[in-house]
Amino acid sequence: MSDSQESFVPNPVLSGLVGICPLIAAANSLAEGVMYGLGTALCALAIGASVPLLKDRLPDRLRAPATLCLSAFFALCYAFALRLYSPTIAAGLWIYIPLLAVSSLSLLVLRRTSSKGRFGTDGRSRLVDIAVEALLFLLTATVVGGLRELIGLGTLSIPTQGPSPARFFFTEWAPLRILVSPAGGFIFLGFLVAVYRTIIRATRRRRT
Amino acid sequence: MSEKMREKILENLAAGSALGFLTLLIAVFSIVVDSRSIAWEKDALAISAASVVALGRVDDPDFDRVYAIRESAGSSYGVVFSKRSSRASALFGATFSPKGELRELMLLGSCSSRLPTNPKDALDSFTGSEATLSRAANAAATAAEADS
Repeated sequence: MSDSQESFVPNPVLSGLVGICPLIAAANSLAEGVMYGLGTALCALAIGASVPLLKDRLPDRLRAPATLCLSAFFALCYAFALRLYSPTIAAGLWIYIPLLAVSSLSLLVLRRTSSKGRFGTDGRSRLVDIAVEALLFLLTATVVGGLRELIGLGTLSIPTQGPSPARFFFTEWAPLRILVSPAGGFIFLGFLVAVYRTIIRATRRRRT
Repeated sequence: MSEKMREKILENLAAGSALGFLTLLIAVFSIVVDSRSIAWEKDALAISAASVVALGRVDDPDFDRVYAIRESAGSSYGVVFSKRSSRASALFGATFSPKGELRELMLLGSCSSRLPTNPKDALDSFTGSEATLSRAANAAATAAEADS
């Protein structure tokens, strides 16, 4: 494998289809997409930073349950913070907030980190890879939530502090309301995955 | 007791106490968040009220507490509840008479841009809204009984 391929961190959602069910169910507006993606990214970073520290102190048999407990702890902390920041967005994300614990643990680099060394084969810290992957998850959740809201409802909501997110209206009516529902979300994600994979394939072909 | 067994017991004890510490942290955070939530809900309900008193927790999937609102005209009881569908979510506030009759319904915030602005219409767009309102009315009437 070449160095360029080794250092490539694929998009966890569009390439690995990681955590798509809670993402599609939760991210039906820009505000909810941003807050869900941010939660997953922060939890992944917190676990990625704390698991290598615990690795030397914990026996093998306790490593998996400890990682899961830590992940649930960080997800709960984020849920509390979100309730204080915006109770409406917290109510909107509802049961999907606890699923942050699983979504963040599903990130591919994070899984590799908890089973191998602190550094990758190319010598880079795995925390940097986790940060890139977490950022890609946040970016994808933002794009999915934002485009679904924009095309589906003709509006964009910005996650501001307080009871309701700030809103911008672009049309008087909802152009394609089905996109806001989970079924429409999966159709939209299918198109996004197709576009992403076409771009990646074209880039690889150009390199070879 | 063998050395290996003692080591394992110590490891388990250490893991257990670490878990206990995390649980304690969660408990402290939840107390802080609950007190902030109560303050926010009181602010949301006390638009025309002289003073609002929280009457303790309620075991309901949609709302947590009933508030007693003391006004010069008489007492009323308020509830803040959330409704959610696959397309939208919203927070509502409702005040009831001591007998459980609806006095005022408020749309406190929503996560969907296309919800009707009228609170009654917004609530009607969620399934199970009537059941939630009637449970809130019952909780208000029970709180009024306990209060008197």
